[in-house]
Amino acid sequence: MNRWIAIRSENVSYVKRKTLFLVAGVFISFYLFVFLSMILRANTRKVFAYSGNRLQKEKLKAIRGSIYDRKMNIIAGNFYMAKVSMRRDVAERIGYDKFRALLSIFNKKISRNQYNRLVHSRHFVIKIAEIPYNEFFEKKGEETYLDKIASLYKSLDLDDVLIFDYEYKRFYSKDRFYSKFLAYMYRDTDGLKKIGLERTYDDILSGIDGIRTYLYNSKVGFYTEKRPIDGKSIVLTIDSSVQFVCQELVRDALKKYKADNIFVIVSRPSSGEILAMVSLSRKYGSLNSLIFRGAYEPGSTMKPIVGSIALDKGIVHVTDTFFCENGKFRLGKRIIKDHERFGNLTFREIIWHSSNIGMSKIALKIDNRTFYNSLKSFGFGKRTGLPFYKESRGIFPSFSEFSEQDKVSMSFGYGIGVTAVQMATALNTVVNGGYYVPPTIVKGVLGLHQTVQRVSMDLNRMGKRKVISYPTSSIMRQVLKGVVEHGTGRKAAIDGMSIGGKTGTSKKLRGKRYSNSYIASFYGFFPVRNPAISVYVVVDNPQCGKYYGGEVAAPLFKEIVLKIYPLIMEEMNNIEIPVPDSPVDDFNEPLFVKKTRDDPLGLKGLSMREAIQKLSLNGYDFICKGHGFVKDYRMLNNQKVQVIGNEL
Amino acid sequence: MNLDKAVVFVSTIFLTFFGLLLNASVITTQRKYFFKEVLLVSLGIVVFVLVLRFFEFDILKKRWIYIVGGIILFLLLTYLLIFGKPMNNARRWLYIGPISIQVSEIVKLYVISLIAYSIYKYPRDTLMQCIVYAFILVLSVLILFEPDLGMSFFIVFISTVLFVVANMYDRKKVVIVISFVAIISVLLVFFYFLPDKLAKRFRFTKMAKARVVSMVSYQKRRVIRFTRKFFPYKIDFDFSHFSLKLLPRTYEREIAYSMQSSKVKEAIENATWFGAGLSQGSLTKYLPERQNDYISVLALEETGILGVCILGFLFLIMFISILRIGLNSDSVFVQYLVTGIGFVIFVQALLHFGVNFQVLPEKGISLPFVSYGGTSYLINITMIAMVLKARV
Repeated sequence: MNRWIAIRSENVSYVKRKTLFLVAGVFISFYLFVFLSMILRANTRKVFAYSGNRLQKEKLKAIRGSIYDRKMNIIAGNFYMAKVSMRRDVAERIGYDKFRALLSIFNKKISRNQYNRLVHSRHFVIKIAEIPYNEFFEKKGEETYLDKIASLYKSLDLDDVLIFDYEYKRFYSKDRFYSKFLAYMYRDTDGLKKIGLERTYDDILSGIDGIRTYLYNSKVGFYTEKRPIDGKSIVLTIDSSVQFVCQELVRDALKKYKADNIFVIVSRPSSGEILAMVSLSRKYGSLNSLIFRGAYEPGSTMKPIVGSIALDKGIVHVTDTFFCENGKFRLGKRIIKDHERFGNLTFREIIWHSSNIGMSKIALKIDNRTFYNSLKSFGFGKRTGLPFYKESRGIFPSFSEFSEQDKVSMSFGYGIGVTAVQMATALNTVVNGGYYVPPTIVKGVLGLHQTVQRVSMDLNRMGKRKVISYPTSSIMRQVLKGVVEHGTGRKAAIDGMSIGGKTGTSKKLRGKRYSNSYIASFYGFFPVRNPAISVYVVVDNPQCGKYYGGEVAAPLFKEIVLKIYPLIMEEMNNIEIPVPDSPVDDFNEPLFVKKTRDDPLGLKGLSMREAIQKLSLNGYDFICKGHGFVKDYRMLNNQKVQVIGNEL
Repeated sequence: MNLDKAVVFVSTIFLTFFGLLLNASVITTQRKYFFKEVLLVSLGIVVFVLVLRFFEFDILKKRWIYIVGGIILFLLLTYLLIFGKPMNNARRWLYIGPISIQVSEIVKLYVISLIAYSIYKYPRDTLMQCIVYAFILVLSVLILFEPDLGMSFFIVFISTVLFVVANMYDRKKVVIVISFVAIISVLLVFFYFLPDKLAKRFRFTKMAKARVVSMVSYQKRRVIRFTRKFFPYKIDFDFSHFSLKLLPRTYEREIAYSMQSSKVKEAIENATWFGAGLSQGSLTKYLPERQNDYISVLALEETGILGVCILGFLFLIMFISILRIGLNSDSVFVQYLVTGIGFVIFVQALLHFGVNFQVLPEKGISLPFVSYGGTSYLINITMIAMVLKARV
């Protein structure tokens, strides 16, 4: 009651409710805002906090395996590099002049504009230089790089601003003449990209990274370590010298013929080993992988295959004659043309002069089923199993779609899509005594002491299989020899060498019509009696006036053979090149202490550091406890050792 | 017993308990704080019981208490400024034997009761209110030169809020107050934020000069760091073309990263719902002043977002129920005293959380009841006892 009286009196002022609520409301809303901002910034996805946060982990990087060619020359290896870099904010703080002075040590220049752009970029770290490790510590002139840096620090009054990292960097020694689609690795804005063998054999090459775990503490007493297992090296069947020759010749030919693409495959028909594989394109350079990805119509190079099928089944004989209708043959609604007018031709002459009409007449004699099945057994419509990503199957109809007309057009190489690798393999089958041998590019994995082991991945593939009989094959070799001597492939002939081959020319499909662009190809092998080397050349869309396989691809074949013959003569005659001995491992020798019965590894009494060194050299994983000298140790299992030192 | 009073009492107990828990978690690195805190809490309970038993509001309604108290506090503060023992570059503590007292904490209680008394006694006397306000400003300036920027700002802020809540403003008073504050702030800029070169030219005394130099460098940096968080651009105005550009400003290392702020930032961004567990935190392990000024960051890492939210909720309900007690009390003096106490505790908590969660610029402000600190705990517990004593 007192209170109500008091309010009315003038000399008393109570708290004003409105203002109080206003002020308190402002405070409370700001209070809630503070908490809300905290919750929005916090990591609310996690329910419990990081356990084991104090355990520091460090990655021990495995060394990536190298890639060798068949003569153990290195193709892809690793360089130990010293990387010099600087944090971006540090670069901004020290200013342009000092930054330029630091760069001048590594013989680099930078303009003020470039510097400004660099400083305002988003990078956290700026790379300054990358120098081979041994060069970095060697004396160049009077002082090493480190001395130079130290003196510059002193004169410019700088802190320790540079960052030094040491790491392995991939290095391709034969980069210039080595097709990149085979094996290549590069760093893009998206990250690390691997191409070809680097991609398919990544698990073999990369090895397993190790981990070192230790307590982040002032006392370093306890840490476990799992050693990295280095990647294994692989050995290719590629011969670098042959590859070099082919690449250089193809590069010239690309300019000379004004072609879109040129593919060359040099292989050994008997074993399927690929000695050189070149795929160059005007547009994409050597990154072009159309050699196993692009399907095209092979043209007349198909004829030996169809011919060998007919011979093998006993349907025709070499001396059988066929009338070639003087260049025009009406088959139902369809007209088949020849490039010349031929009268009567024997089987041999049909292949020599590449008569489409003669070949289609032979094909008409063969049963649909046998024709289809035998073409399949030559490997068409299947992947050859080369270890590349996204190899093409080619285009091959299923049997329900397969008709008489298809058979006729397939006999001279139309109506079927093949890749260059498929075609080379199929033609090798005709020549090598009738065996289908899948092509190989990887010889094996390099084991200890440079022994080459078979790759387990290769065992999954189809093995060798008989397709045609040996006599058929030898007849076909003689027939193909005639192509070079009398027929369309005369420009491939070399004096003093017995060479067989077959030309091929096909029109390219553009949309639904055949255009005026051509694919010229030539397949050749030598020596004829026992083919050691076969070369398959494909020239896509030559625009130099000539387009026949005999005029474009055959001369290129001739050039290649002339250059590579001396290089592989030794190998053709089966003279083996001795592999150089591996250096002896001195590291496995015991350091100081002899082994005894209660000390089988000979660790006791060594200092902790020496023990760790020794264990890691012998390939053990280990857990260390304590410091100082090794008091005791025990084997946890075959691979793991617990080492106990003096107590902390 | 009233419900509001029960809420205030229970939340005080919980906050004290929370503080003990967090101080116990610091034990792994700094041992002394927990045991001192236990001693203080037990002393605080004694004080609490004594205040509840013997305190009457009539004691504070006598004029001579304020005059004498004001003079004593003024003398103590000037004594500290001249003869005080520096600790962490600041002369805030009065050492009497083994005991150290933070005088500015007592000033807080004095100021609230002074304002409450002046509004109760002279509701229509403008001159008297201005004198009171001016005296508070003088005290806060003295505290400012300890140096303790946060506390002096806090005292002026609270007293202004209390006058506003009392509707004690008209045009005349606002003009007078603004001119007061303006004059004092100009003086402050002249003495406090003076650049070194000017200080040399005007030849201040040795002591003052040293203090100016040491203060300016780090407080300037704090302000710059805070403003750059919201406006990280450099204004580039070209007079010849009349073009204005905003150049993005990259952080300079000395300004952008202080050791505390970077650690606090990391702790906030890695905070989780349930936290790492007591004395398991690694990010705040070596954070300076984590038992005092950065205790809620410690709580955030070790008890998680949930723990901190409970802490904040306790302060919120405490504030609301203290305001309700104040509104329901019958006497004008008690009303203002209790409202002032509520604002003091809540605003201090607000500033503390704001600084800890990096919404406000860096400044060491302790969290009432939870942070380690003797004088502040005793004063706060006395305040709560006063609130519970109010007749509803």
